[in-house]
Amino acid sequence: MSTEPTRGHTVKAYDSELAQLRGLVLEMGERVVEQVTDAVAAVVEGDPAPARDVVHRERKIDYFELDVDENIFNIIARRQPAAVDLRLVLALSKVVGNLERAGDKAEDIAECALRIQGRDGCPEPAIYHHVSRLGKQACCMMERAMDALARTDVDQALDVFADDSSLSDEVAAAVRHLMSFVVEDPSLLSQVIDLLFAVKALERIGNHAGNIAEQVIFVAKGRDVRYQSRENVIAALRKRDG
Amino acid sequence: MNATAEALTGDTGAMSAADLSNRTDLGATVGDVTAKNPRMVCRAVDVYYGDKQAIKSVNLDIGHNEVISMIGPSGCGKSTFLRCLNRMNDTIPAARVTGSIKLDGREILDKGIDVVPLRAQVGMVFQKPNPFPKSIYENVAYGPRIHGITNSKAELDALVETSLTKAGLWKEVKDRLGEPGTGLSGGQQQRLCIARTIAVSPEVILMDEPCSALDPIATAVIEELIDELRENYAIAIVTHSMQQAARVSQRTAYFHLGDLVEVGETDQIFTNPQHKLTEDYITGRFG
Repeated sequence: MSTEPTRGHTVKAYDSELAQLRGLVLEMGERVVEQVTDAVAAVVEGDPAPARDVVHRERKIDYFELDVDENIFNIIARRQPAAVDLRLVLALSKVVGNLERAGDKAEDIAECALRIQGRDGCPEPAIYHHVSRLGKQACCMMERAMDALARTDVDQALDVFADDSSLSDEVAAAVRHLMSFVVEDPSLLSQVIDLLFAVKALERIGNHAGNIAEQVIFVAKGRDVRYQSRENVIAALRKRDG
Repeated sequence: MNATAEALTGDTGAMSAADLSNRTDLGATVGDVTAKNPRMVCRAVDVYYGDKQAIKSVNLDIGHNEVISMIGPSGCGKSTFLRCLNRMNDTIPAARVTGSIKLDGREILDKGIDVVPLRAQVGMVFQKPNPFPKSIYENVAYGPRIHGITNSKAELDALVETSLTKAGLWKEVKDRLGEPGTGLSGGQQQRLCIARTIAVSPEVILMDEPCSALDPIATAVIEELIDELRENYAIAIVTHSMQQAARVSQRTAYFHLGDLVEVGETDQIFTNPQHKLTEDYITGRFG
């Protein structure tokens, strides 16, 4: 269910500027997903190389934010966007903030990986089970949120909300699972603490995907659904369009 | 649907956005055409120029203490509708207006209505400043004098000063009231025309593109003045500048090919218009 405007602006350059802005944000989203994927791989596979790459590339994510902000600043100053264009520009401004913070979390995970490897890793591969699962889930949510943004697709955005709810359950399971390792072998405490940090970082990344989905709904429907019950939002919007 | 769901979706039984965008009958306007404290109530207003229908069954209230802007592409009928509000279309031989337009409950389309006092009650400011070829003082004093509003020279002097003050022009012209009005700058001339309109104690002020001939500074002064005048009058303004409509008005009405497509709070119209045509126009996609 896409709610994209059906025709372009009379001023074609305005279309190009909006397309370029949205393209930049989508590219930033791809880079963030790449960062998260590599950071999780560094933890799970015990490989320091991708972790170092993630830390090294984090600065580029920050530059994306600066670039997007400059584009938004110029579009507001020069085009005075209104209606759906205004909503899109404001939404992209918030999306880019969420992506930047998700990028920071990917860096945090990479640093966890480096710390764990600095302690000669963990002897028990099963300890990474939930981090691996959560990593895939968080990346999937972020990809889905960015896809929803690319197509202004409310249904996709609502799917991200549903995923956000199951992510919380997965995080709770991961915490219980990690704590069981400490109970069995207290010498793993440091590694488990790092993995708990990674788990919480992945939860935040999923939350950022949910925040991006909220912005998609703002663009498509003109409704600000932040700080509202996700269940109510899903029920209301699915019912309306169903 | 519970209250939260309703708040989220705005679903109060109205048409969905998809329904609205697919509508082909534009006879019904999207949004609330009524005003809380209406000065003028227009219902089923049709305007014909000969055989051609320029306005199609428009319903709209003009509220007291509010500025309502009328926007839309050229030829959409917004100026035609504005001119109905003080029967300026009477001056066009082929024009025919039907329906009902009431000013404070009194029908103004009745044949027996004297349009001269009506046009004092519903004053008009035009696109191009059009001061009389008289002194600044006489430009303002002329209306009150012919309408017999004042009884003495002292009263007239006071009224001229009050009107020029309300129009934000007094300080600039008080020492040269005898100079020709046409000698003022464009922005000052437009404010002089507003003073002239105010001088005959109108209830409603109509403005047809009042700033289109002015530079941005003079425009800002007029816009500030419009906001001040809102305290005492109902104001309807036709403008091609959407930014101006967004800046000065509390409600906005979007016209398209003679239909009043959508009316709403200006904030809503410029951030989340409900009709596709309104959105296309507001965002510059109209074509």
